Amino acid sequence: MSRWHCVLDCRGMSSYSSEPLDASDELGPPLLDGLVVVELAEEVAGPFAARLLADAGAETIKIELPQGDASRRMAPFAEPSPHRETSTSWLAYNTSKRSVVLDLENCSARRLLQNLVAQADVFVTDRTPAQLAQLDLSPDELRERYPQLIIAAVTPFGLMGSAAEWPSTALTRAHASGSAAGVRRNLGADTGAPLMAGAKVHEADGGMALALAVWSALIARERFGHGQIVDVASTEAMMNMDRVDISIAHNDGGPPARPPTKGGSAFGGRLECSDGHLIAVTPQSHQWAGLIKSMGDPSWAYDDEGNLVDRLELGEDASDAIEHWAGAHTRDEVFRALQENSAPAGPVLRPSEVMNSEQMQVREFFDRLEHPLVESARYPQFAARWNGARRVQRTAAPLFGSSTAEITRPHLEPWSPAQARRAGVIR
Amino acid sequence: MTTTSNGQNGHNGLHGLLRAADRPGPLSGKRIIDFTWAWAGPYGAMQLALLGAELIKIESATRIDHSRQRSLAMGSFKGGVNQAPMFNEVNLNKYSIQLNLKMEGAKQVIRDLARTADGAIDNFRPGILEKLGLGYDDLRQFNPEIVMVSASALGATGPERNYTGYAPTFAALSGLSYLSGEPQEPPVMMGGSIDLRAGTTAAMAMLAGFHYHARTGRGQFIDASSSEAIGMHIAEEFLHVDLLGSDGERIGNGHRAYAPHDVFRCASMRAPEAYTDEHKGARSGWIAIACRSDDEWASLCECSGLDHLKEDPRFRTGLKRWKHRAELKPMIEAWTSEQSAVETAEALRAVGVPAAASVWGSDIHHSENFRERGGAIRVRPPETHLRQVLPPPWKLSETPAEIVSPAPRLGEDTDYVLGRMLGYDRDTIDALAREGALE
Repeated sequence: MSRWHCVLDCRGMSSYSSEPLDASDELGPPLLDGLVVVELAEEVAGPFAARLLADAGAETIKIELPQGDASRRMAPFAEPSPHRETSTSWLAYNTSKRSVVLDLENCSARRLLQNLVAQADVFVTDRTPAQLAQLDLSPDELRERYPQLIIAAVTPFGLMGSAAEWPSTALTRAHASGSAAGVRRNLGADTGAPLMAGAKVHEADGGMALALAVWSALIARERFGHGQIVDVASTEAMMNMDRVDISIAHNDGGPPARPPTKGGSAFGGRLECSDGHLIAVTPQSHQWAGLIKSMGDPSWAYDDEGNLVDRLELGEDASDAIEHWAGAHTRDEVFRALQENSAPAGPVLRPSEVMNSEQMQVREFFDRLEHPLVESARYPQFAARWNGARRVQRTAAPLFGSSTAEITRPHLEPWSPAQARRAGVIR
Repeated sequence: MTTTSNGQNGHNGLHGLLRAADRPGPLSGKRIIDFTWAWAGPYGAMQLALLGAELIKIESATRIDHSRQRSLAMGSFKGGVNQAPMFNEVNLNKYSIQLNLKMEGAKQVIRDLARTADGAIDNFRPGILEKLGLGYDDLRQFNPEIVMVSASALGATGPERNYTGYAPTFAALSGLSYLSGEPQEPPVMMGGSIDLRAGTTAAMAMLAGFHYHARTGRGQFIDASSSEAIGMHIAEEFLHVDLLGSDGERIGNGHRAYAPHDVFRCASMRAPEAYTDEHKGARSGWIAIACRSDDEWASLCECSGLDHLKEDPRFRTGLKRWKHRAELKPMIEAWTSEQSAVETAEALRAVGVPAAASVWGSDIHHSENFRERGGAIRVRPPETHLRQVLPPPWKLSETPAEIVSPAPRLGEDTDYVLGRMLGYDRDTIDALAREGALE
């Protein structure tokens, strides 16, 4: 029997029963039902990883310092603005969690956190080795003290190595990883400064890598009966996303020669339609044939014997003709025409257009969550549907400290939460 | 056919030896049928192989994985099918078996594999495997506990389920492309990194399925969408729409509140003495610098010798620096353009200013932190040269992820899989070959 079945027996935090799961139900319980996660992390990578676990059903206790997760102070804010509950960044990466506020300057608070970690299955953190040592949460010590615990750290440069304590931001991490250079190189070798991709996609890479590694460690714990330390450097997670091109640059003598088409790759790229941009890429010959068919089989695409000429041989003249054709139509017209002929394409959609697309709506990729202070809004799900497990009813990000009293009470005895608050242990 | 007559080669031996001699990975002993091709699916499957699973890649000479032949960035690859660097990077640690899935004998091989497999992963258009009689509902007849991930461009349901795509279209359809680029320029086309993000999502979906199986004994089908995979990476942009009533905008290397927050051109990547004959890194350099506070700004001014800017009323507060960031940029760049990126970033970090050289390729491999954390892994694909590849993106203290072999040659392990794994005798294998099932 795994530790899963006996964790948190007396604290009232876990709803998971000690009985083995019943395999006869059509849909089983949520993926991580009964799992307990304690998170000490801020901004994007760590909270995103913990959110993935929380949204999959893990009871996730987010520890915040008295000043709150830094993302609570990050623009932009929904109304009321600015307010510690209304940052879109805060709201996006903290669904389905509970917030507990502890003043970790206080040694009783540190002991309380230690108790919470002792009873958790997973401890997610983004603190550097020096910060963890100060909090009495050194990974090696935790590993020794709690052999079943999965200690999951996502830090900028990893738990070991001389860069572990470097100051960094999302910008400098994206550039230190090669990720920003990768975005620029994809546009052609010599077209300007390396460039971060939009939104917070590079930071999310660190969160994804950590969540994936936690799931691996959970499998290992089921099979081998022990926890472990998971060390993810977010910069290494980012650089892995470009591992193909980084390898080619390093091992094969520099970047490949740039291909002849405009706006992107050897086999197509960005086109300007009458109402915005569209991406079309046709590396396979049947896809190229589909693009030409969509255009009404123009004669320039065929040789004297009536055979379709390879895209790479046609070069820029073909690009000009395709651009001209696309410019006379809307994104949707070009998109549908190409896809009907098996040519891969996608309109460059605004986020609002993504949310309103029929495809995303039919698949219920977004679910609407209510929040006591901000308007209800649509939050993206995980990009996969498990047909055997029940989906979790997610909740919006927690109000600051809203679960402090409930979750800390059993650990404060003989103090009451009010006494502990006056003593500065909790907030 | 490229099978060997004795069913043995170095690739297989290496696999067994290294796994047996070392600590197991989280997925050691798990077998997964890998139907994927191109980049996203193979990288998804490869991560499971790095974690110790036995990945049996189903290939065919009648339908060669096009990452053995071409890539969006490079165009056509001039080498042979066993030499393509892009294929190697997303198929490490795997076995390759050649099967023409149109032939009944090949389908029977898949059914036999399904009996002994823990998982299966594909990135076909929805319905393709079903047409071959090899979809989830078919495979679970032979193994009700199998976990199967099907990762398609837009998912297995909905009006666009049959649409096809590649990395750049996933980014376009998810909203990421629109948000990527400089404010005054068109949205950028994203590249292969998008595939690897989609692959990461699919791998996580499979791991969640395996973990669930370990707890409940249940197999299941998992429908993954590569476009949604990119959408889930940019969650807050959707909240921007519903809560602020508008779409976010492109900000390039900029920030909504901080300045300076940008990349600046440098004279070189490294100081002159770093450039030896063997040096393979970049000659030109860029440095990323971000100041989040007045203290960091003051430190930047002092470190750069631009002390006078500290007193300049245009730059005295964070808000003022942000408003005047366009004026600030050339002043900072006038300084950086006479410096080397790596050493300047080091000096700035030493005084607490977040800064980094913007690296690529060999400069990543040369970085001290990269080497301290284990550095590159050397692999030697049998038909090409020694390669240094990036290690797995996670370090697990007790059940490490490992790279133990290069990507397989096309059909390299056909005999091994049929003979050793499935126990087919020589006559059976020869009969399959004769009927064309192993093409």
